[in-house]
Amino acid sequence: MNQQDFTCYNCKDSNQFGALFCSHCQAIQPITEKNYFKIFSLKQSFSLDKNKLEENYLNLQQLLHPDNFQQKSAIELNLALQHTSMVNEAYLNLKSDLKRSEYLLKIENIIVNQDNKSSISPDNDLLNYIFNLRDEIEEVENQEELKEIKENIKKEEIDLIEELEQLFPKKQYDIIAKLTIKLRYLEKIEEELEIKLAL
Amino acid sequence: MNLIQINEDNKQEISKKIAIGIDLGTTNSLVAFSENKNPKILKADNELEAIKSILTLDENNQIIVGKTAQNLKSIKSIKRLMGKTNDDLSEELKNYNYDILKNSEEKIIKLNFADNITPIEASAEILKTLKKRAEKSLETEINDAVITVPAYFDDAARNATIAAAKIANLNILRLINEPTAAALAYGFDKDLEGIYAIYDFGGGTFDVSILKMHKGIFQVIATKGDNFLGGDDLDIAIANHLVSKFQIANNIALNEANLAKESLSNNKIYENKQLKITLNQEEFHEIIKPLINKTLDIFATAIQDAKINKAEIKETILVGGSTKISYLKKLLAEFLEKPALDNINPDNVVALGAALQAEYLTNSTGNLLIDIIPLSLGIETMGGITEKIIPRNSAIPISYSQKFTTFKDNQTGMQIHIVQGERELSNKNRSLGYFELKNIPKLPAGKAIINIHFNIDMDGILTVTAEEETSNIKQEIIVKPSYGLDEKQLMEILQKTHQNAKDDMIERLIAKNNISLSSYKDQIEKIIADKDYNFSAEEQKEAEEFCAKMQEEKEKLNKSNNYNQLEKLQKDTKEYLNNLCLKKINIITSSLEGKTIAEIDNLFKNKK
Repeated sequence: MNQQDFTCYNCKDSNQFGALFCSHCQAIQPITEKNYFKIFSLKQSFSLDKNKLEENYLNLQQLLHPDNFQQKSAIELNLALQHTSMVNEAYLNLKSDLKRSEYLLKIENIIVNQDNKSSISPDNDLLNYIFNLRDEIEEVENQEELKEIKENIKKEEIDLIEELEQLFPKKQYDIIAKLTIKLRYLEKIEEELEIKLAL
Repeated sequence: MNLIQINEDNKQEISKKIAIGIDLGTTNSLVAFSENKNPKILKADNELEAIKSILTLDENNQIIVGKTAQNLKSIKSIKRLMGKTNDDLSEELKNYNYDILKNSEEKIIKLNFADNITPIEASAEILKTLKKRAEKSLETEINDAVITVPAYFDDAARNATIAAAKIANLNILRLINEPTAAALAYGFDKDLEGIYAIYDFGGGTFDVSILKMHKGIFQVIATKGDNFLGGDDLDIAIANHLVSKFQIANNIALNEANLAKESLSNNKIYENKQLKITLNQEEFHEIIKPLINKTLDIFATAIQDAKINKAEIKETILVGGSTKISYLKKLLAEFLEKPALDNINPDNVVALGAALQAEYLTNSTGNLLIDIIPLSLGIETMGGITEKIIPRNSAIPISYSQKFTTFKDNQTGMQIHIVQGERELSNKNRSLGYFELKNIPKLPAGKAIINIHFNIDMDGILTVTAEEETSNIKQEIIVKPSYGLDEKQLMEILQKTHQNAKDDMIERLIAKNNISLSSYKDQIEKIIADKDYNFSAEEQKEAEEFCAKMQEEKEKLNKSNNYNQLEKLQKDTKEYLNNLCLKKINIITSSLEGKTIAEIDNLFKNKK
């Protein structure tokens, strides 16, 4: 037996590593793939074919969704739940440009999204910039101006994402980390603005 | 013994196939059943399709559901109180709507009705009535149901609904969101492709959902709503107007407001000569316009969340009684730049969709529903700031893990506050509960690493587990919403409810639990006996002892007819089986664990 093969817990037949279902008894198998990109058979890169992601996501859902396992054994239902949770987690993290960037940095052991354990902290320029932006928002009273600020933030986010697309292939992780942190701050402010506009 | 076994198996056969769909509404409730993808509202010939969600006490102090009578005490719109505490209620609600037991010291809401029952128990009464109707109509016992909830229901309100079903002796196959159910009812038999919106304006809540339909998959991509914006609020707005203009009492005004609304939805003028009230359509439109605009604003944010343009929405489906107002349809058509769809009765569409999902979960029908959570889940970090763990509009089920460290030397406990909502300050969001991790090994600050896993299940309910990495101390809590009924109180209510129940119901309950217990026992024995997974002799012995003890307990409880304890035993055994399953899965996967992404990568490359 090949070392990477495994036996199905249900029928004991040998299966190829990574198989979602036993080739013999069709029982759903445990999760072996935890890399978000690999789960969707996508190339590990910041530039992403979002249509492909969407298509593969729906295909996996159709195969693994727990609703399809309601009449199966407790183990199979449990596994389907784990698989679908994993697929949803991966989808969530790849779909968002910010989260995808954070994940790719994490693979390089650069943590930017947890305040207490981040390997890189925002620099003073960025903090000043954010501080001023928040100040500006505080002072604005009318909705139209808020909308304009929001539009500007949106534009800046798009520019940042374009920059990231350029930088990732060059592996310039220092700059990437800084831009990712900036993107995170901007998205947060954008969301706060949305709430403010909705109130 | 054998004879009973055969009998039990038969019952299992039957109960497996029949599951109903329930629309537990603020104003009206319905029950439906679907066979061969053909859902029907259940009712007797002389009955209306909808049962009013109203509870009345009759002359003998018995609760009756669905009927009002003058001079008899009744309560309505109970759904708005699900998952709420006394602190959550607005003054306006207290003034107009409810017979809430005032001056109650407790957080939990009690009603000034029957034995001061809780809203959960009141909801259970409606569910019992629906269950009875279904049993009568289908001429069989019903145990399983899909129940719909507003998409914007938070964790507390969902848990409250689950508790109500338990009291009504209904097993919830799934809680599904009302707009999603409506989409199912519209789209299951057509090959719908593209983006659809569901505009659901009911008696008590407003929800809007945006779905992508693709090859029989219903994928919800965004949902927004307001749990305190419904037909009731239109009534309140009209009543406010009537009170100030015609100086009439609050309770009369509310009733008049409701009549006026129904009349003016299609007529030019409403008049009550006795009370000297007149209201014309222009005034009516002026009063309700701000509320309708509010729904359109929410619609606009949902569109934004879905990251689509308004023009990409192929059709908008109308759901809920309030969408019958012609002025609303007009404003909505202006907003959308095309009319909305209302070819299925907006009152029935949710129940029909629930029945379809119930059929799917019992006999696969080929459609698949991917639903999402409406509100972000987060934890409170230092300074009272919310850190989002799972953002809103994430597909469920979903899990997320995060590592935390201690910040003091020898810190042995850690409290985590879980909140739901979009606001930055935690106290502006809804508190789901506090989660306390104890017995952390004494280590210098930052050395103990606690891994916390957040899991949201198919019903949108959160479970949290945590483990300390160095010691492997594991703890699990289901986040018990702070609003109310804990397990003990729920047991008391169940006991109280079943005391009055007939013997045959008790018998059925006992039979049902016995079947489950035998099935669990078989599964446990099968797993533990599987030589491939090297369960230690200790583990095997523990499982055997567990099963033996369970069997003994089961027989004892059967003799004493103690169905309540039997139910508890059933639950405990199920949990044991579940944990064993997870253990087995861990054993299977452990051979792959501890490998880095790069290593797994290599494994893959080697394969190619």
